[in-house]
Amino acid sequence: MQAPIKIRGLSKSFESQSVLNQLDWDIEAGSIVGLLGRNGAGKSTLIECLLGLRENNGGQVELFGEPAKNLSADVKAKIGYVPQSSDLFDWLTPRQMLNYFKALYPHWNDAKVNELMQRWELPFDKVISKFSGGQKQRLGIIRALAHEPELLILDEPVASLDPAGRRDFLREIVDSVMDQNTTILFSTHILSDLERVAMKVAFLSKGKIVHEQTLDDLMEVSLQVTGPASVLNQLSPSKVLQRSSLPAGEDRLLGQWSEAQMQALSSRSDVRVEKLSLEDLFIEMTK
Amino acid sequence: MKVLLNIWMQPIYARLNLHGIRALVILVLTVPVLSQVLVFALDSFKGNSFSFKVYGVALLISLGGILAILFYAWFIMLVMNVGLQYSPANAKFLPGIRRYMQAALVLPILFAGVVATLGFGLISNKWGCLPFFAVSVFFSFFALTVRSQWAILPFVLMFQLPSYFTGNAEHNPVLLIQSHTGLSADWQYFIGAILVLFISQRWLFSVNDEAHFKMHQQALKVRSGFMGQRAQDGAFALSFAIIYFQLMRREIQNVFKRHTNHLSLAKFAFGPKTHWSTLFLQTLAMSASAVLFLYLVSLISNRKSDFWEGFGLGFGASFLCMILIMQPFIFLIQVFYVIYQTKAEQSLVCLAPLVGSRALVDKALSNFLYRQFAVFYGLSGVAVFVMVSQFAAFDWKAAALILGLACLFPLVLAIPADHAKMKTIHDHPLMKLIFISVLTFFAFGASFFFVPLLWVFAYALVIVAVTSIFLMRSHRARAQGPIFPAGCAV
Repeated sequence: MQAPIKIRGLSKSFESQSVLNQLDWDIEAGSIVGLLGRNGAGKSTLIECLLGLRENNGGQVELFGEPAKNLSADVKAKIGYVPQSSDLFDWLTPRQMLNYFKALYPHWNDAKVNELMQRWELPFDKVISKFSGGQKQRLGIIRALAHEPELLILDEPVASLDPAGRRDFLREIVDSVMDQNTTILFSTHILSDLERVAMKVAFLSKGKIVHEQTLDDLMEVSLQVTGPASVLNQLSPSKVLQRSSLPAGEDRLLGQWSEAQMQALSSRSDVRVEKLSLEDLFIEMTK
Repeated sequence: MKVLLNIWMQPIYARLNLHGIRALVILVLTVPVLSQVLVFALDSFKGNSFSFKVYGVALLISLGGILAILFYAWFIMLVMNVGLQYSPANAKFLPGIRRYMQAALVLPILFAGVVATLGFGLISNKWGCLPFFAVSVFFSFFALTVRSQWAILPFVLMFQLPSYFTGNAEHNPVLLIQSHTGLSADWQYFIGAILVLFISQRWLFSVNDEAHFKMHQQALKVRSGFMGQRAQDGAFALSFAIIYFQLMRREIQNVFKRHTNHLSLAKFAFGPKTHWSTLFLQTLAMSASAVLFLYLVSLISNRKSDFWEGFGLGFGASFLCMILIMQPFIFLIQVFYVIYQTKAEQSLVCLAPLVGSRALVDKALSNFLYRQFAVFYGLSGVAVFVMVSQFAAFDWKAAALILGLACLFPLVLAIPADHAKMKTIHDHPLMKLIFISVLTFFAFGASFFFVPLLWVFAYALVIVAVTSIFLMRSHRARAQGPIFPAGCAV
């Protein structure tokens, strides 16, 4: 099966500031990936570049095997996109807006639209500008799901929702396309959005995807070890995620370890071993 | 004093942070130069000998005009800033904020009043407090718009009072007070101005709770409008888009029926604001309101002549014609806001499968903008034709109108600008093009002192021909790379 997203050596800079730097990334079909990065890390830029909506300075992006800058109608029909801005077509009513997009897509699931509009209690004939931020985002998602895309890309899709509703809502989106093996990529800087939703997480830092892994594995095999540099040098984790020197003459190593290594580490007294929360991992990985 | 200076400097810092500073500076500096060119043309035409005084006076008037415009622009921004800073939270927690804000507004108002009095006195050699009254009341009412936009209404009506009192001298309070108390009119104007200033400032800052919150929200809205941020259109604004919505509905139905011409729907990504029908209906409504307003004013001023046969119709027709002539300009001012604000909509249309390639979408969107400009320019042409045909002879007014119409044409070069490289909402060449148009107008206009007025047709031809060459070149250059969504090549 053709990989929905394949990126090689993608670079993008704004004037002298480099945002994406030789970024490589593949996303497999059917995966649900949360793209994590701090504010200003370049998540939206990456998404816009990979959709061909922003000119890049170098590298190649392919969607379903076609260059992103020149997508065929067939490939475009496979893509659903929810931009970060939720103020879309706000001079129209949802009925007008959905009708407009229905005319621009070869396939449109009216039943799904009606069902989601009802489930999320959105009126068809109220001007969109009168909607709340959350309602606008829901409507944007309905528009993106209506043509039943194989690849759904959401840029900060739940930023306007309250914290309690965010995770459940994302879960709902994921559930609504799960049975169709849809690939989902969503960006966020809100970690709680990921739990119970993302299959994989990808950390964007310094213009690169610095790490990508299934969320469960990441939480299970990552440990932070603090101790003298000479001791840490003798350790051989399966992957070094981050290493830094501390003011007290010690080093800190965030790495991934096998089960045996983790057991061995926990019995050592010359190093301190910590299991990090997702928040701490995020902070370390995006430093 | 440091606090006051801070408050006064903020509008300047805010403006300096925006794009187009260089064009603005050039535009401002051009006015004194133009004043000298005009004096030279006039002198040459009349065969006058060189006089330092004439050139000096022209220079001083032009500098005074620029300073007045800059001061007014600064005051608008100052008022907006005060509205923003006098938030409910600041009012509660910052000690003395009310006092500073009041002083920051009152001192420039008094300054403007004094300068107006001196200026008027120097030019006309008549000294009195009427200019002080008029200018300080004008600025006081303007400051009140922070609290309520409706403050503009009593302000406009107040300026109709002289007209009313001319016809009803027995009710003129100035004369009445003068005859009863012996207080001169100048003293009354001075005391009146101070009273208006005092009362308006008290009312402006005596807002609390919910009303204060609403006032601050309004200030935020005004600021976001000024910054070109997306404003949400209410039902009233959208009612002018009735033709646009009908067209959209019909075109969508046609696409459903015939399964062709999907690309024709791309233009709806821009929304109704740039569509000719929306702007045209707004113009009509504006003209009708202006005539109605003047009718009401004529009732107050007790004019004896038939309003509809005389002033109303004449004013309505000329107002409509003037607004129609300015339509291409008004359209282009809107265009850049819309192009920048609907980036996301343009992206979604680019990703829609049935519209075709990005190049086709770019072409469709550009062509839509050209078509709208053509409609507006056509309307301008009709308005100029109607106005010129009303003149008894082909005089300088007719020539100026035709030259003005021709000089609007170079503004079309704003359409093939590199929208893909738009960094901010203010990053566009309109200011530069306006500058070129104004300069062309004055340069060719000044030549009428030496050449027959009929040469205006040759000038118009030259302007249109040169613009067309540049237009084709820029259009071709743009076709090489992406144009939409705006800012995609930043």
